[in-house]
Amino acid sequence: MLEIDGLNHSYGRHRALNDVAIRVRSGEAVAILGANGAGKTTLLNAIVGLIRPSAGSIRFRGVELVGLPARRIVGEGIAAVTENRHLFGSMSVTENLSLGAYSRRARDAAPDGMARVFELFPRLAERRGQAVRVLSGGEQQMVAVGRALMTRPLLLLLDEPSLGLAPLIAGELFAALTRIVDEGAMSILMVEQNARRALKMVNRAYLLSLGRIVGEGAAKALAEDRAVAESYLGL
Amino acid sequence: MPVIEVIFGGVILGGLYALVAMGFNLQYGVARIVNLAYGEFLMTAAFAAFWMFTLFGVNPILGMFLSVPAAFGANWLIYRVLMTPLARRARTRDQLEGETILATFGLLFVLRGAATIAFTANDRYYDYLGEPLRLLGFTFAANRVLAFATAGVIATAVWVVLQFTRFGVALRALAIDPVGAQLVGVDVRRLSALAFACGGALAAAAGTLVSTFLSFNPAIGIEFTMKALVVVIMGGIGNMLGSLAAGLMLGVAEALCSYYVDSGLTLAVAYALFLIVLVVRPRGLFGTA
Ligand SMILES: Nc1ncnc2c1ncn2[C@@H]1O[C@H](COP(=O)(O)OP(=O)(O)OP(=O)(O)O)[C@@H](O)[C@H]1O
Ligand SMILES: [Mg+2]
Repeated sequence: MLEIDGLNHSYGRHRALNDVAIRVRSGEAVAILGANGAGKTTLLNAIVGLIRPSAGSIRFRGVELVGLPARRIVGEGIAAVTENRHLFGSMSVTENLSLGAYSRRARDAAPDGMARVFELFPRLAERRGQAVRVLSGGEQQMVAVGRALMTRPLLLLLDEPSLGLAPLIAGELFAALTRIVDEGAMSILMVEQNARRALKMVNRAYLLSLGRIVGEGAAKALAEDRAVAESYLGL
Repeated sequence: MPVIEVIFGGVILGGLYALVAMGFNLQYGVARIVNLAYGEFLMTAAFAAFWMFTLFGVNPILGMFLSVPAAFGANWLIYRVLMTPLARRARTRDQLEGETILATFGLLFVLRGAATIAFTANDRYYDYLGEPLRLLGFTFAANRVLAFATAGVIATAVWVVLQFTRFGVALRALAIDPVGAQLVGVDVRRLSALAFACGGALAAAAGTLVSTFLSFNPAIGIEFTMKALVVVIMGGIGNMLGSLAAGLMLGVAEALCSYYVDSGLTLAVAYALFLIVLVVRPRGLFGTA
């Protein structure tokens, strides 16, 4: 479904991605584990078209995405919850969610999509009329995930969804994400610092270090691997 | 004249300022272009109304059905031809703002110069609905009341579009976070061009209304641009209700000043009000973030 090959990206002289190759299959949930500065955000931003990679190819269901503007990539069925959430702070929860259904592919499904988001995140239903900027960080992250779901994605990208959230609300968020994964209706590619939690949720993971893929494997196997545990699980 | 009548007069003027500011706000808040030539479009529309009225007897309100779409088209073209290369080149919003200030400053002199050559620098005036109108026991010039009512209708229509239509909500989203807008599939270039064009169309509407009750010449543009800028910053960039409130405030303040102090001081009042608001509420009247 998603095939990335030979992906390189440099910021000036600094090489953030070095010959990265990744696959995500239909219905699969994949994690990318890596330390701060490994290039995780750069990789996701390249997929959604927020940056244009220096070299390489990103194909999604046969369509080359490199060079397409972000809005076209949404139309192809990829939604992203970016590191900086880019929500519309002065607008209400409902308005933010409806904007998720802006693209043509999502428009007709908006009412169902909204009901589904409120079912996944009952907290948001209670706060639907409030401006997003007054919500807690965790609630804002739920709006970001909800807005992404409203685009009716085939592939959902998540950049460190639990970063900076209180454990309780991070748990709620992961519970909802796990439900989405279990339904298998969309693929997920997530970047997470909380490797333990991520490996419980996904099927497979890649290890990214200094812009290179240095390992790959089934989530279960990686979770038990001593070397992985040392570098990514903080043991 | 009782104070209430002065205030009503200020509200009428303020309604017009609000309309002027809303157009400027669409160009600045959504397309991120500080259009220093904004007032020249207002001035051009005033002349268009003047000539249509004096040469062909066209009712200025009806004439708007011609001048407003023309202004929309002209501003769309200006965005595509002049602004798109700048928007494409700019790395940051601040850089874009800086470059468009220079470009539109040039445009200001071109338009003003062309109008001076074509129409001379003389003050123009035409007599449209000048008779007094009794309203709630007070007397107003009928053309002022009509201008206020028309401005009110247009401003309400703009607000409804921004609040309730897909297009309008996307424009607001774009004003708040352009990256977020792209992530939900908004075509930033296309909508910026349309917002800029709509802003120009509002300038033309305001110019027509101004021409029905004030005298004007090719040099009036800059004063309206400055007032629009003041009102937009007071009311909050991208915030249309803020523009409305700040526009009314400015109109009333000016009316009180010109009646009780001196009509030559109205511009000073505008800037004094501006400074007070910025000192008390640096993010504008309704600003929060
Ligand atoms: N706009 C930029 N300009 C210059 N260098 C950048 C830029 N963005 C990222 N980098 C550098 O590229 C490298 C990879 O950054 P990236 O944000 O992709 O890492 P990350 O894995 O997401 O890190 P984190 O876990 O801290 O979010 C880092 O060394 C970073 O300093
Ligand atoms: Mg990151």
